[in-house]
Amino acid sequence: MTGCRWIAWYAAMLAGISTAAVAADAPVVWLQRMQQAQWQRSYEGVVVYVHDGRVDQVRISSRPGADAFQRFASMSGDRRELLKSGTEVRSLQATAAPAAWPAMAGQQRALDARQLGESYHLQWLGTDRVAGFNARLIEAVPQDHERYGQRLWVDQESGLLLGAALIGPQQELLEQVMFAQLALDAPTPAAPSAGGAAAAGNETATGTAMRVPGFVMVGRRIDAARGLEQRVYSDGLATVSVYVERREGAPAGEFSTRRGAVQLYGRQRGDLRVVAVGAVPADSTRRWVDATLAGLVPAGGQ
Amino acid sequence: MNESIREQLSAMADGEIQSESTRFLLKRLDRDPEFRGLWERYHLIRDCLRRQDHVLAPSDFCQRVSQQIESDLGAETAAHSRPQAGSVNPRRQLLWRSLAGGAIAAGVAVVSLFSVRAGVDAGLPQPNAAVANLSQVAAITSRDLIPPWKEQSVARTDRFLLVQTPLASELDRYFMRHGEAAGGVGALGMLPAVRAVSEPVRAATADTAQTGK
Repeated sequence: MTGCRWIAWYAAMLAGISTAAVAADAPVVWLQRMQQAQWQRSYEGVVVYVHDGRVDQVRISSRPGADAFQRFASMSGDRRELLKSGTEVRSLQATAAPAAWPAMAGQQRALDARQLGESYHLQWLGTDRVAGFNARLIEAVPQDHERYGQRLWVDQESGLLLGAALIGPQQELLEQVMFAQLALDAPTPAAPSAGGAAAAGNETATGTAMRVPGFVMVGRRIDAARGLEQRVYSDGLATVSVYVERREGAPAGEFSTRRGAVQLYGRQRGDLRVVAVGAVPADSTRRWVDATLAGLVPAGGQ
Repeated sequence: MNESIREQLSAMADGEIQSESTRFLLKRLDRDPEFRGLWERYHLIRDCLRRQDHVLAPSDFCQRVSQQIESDLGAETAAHSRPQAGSVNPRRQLLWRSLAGGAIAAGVAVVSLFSVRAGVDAGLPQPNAAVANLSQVAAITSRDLIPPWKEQSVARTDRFLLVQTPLASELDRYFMRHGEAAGGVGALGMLPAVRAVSEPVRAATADTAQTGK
């Protein structure tokens, strides 16, 4: 091999190593790592949730694996708890009767870097320290008006999400969640299932091809007793639930409300009610309902 | 005014007094301006603790403050218009007078603002009306101690004619199920469930609805 060839080979090797190093440190790789950590790590802690001019504290226990268990309990205001154990979910509230429903099956779906890249521009914002853990800060800048921006604090060691802030179109802080206390256990092996993709396949059968760009269907469940179908769409970071429900005799009309940055928009048309819920702009939830109704109801129908 | 009377007045402002004593205090409120001023201050303190809504001062507030300052300064100038033997440098005197004027202005503004604030409060300065409202005043809770700051408002929500909204429990069910389901699909794990279990803020303008669509 001549000297020139050696130099070319050496340069190519260096370029390859450099590319690999950058790729491993890319924000999207850290987001994938973050998702894996939530499937593999048991943890307990208290998060502080800042929204609507108030500060709430929520205690979290999360244990993945075969005997998966999650508990979210509000520590301020009225008692509100969400318990997820195996395939069942229960909600306990001080002001309402306990409720139970089946957990959404097959919903763990690995983050798609390409899909995420279409919806957000990801960049590093620096480092920080949260609840005693060293964190790297990732910013996800939305590429359209269908979603909000996000800032995510990711634990450098475990990859666990330590905090998140939702950023509005004017760069305003909409809400913020941050661990104030966190105890991590050893990792538990867990692998994502292909259930999300299977569920997405059902969408075509219902005739409601989604028209909001960047989102794909990642889960679906039907509560036959209530005549309620819930479809869950995600762009990797933002998630929207669309409910399609039979509500006979309900007055036609539309309604909207929000909790923190989570918007709800619903419309009753004939015996059909469609509701969209998600931490996305209000106009976006309306478009979800429009798109769903357009797929469900033929033009001129109901 | 003795301490016992003050305590009784404070108790009445908190709605913790017998009706016999109330009648006595109300009579005194009618005829004693100093007593009435104390009554207003107690309410102001209570409102500050409860962080009740701010009330804007009247549009002529600044004008009234300015007039008050001018009249005070005018009186002061007249009193010092004749130079006295051995007096300090007139320039320095002018400087001190300006500073004093500024201090008076600040003081008058604060006092006026508090007076206006107390005056426009519902039920004040009419003692009877205030007593009638006391039964509706809830005790101070930990929620009243939440810092009064706010983040930027969340995305715009269009306003509709309020006709009928699904029950809060129905809406809550949508939020809860979404929080649980969304927690497992995106990369954000715990975040949607944290939102779901946090107590909803009960704002009158949050729920909107319209019919006929």
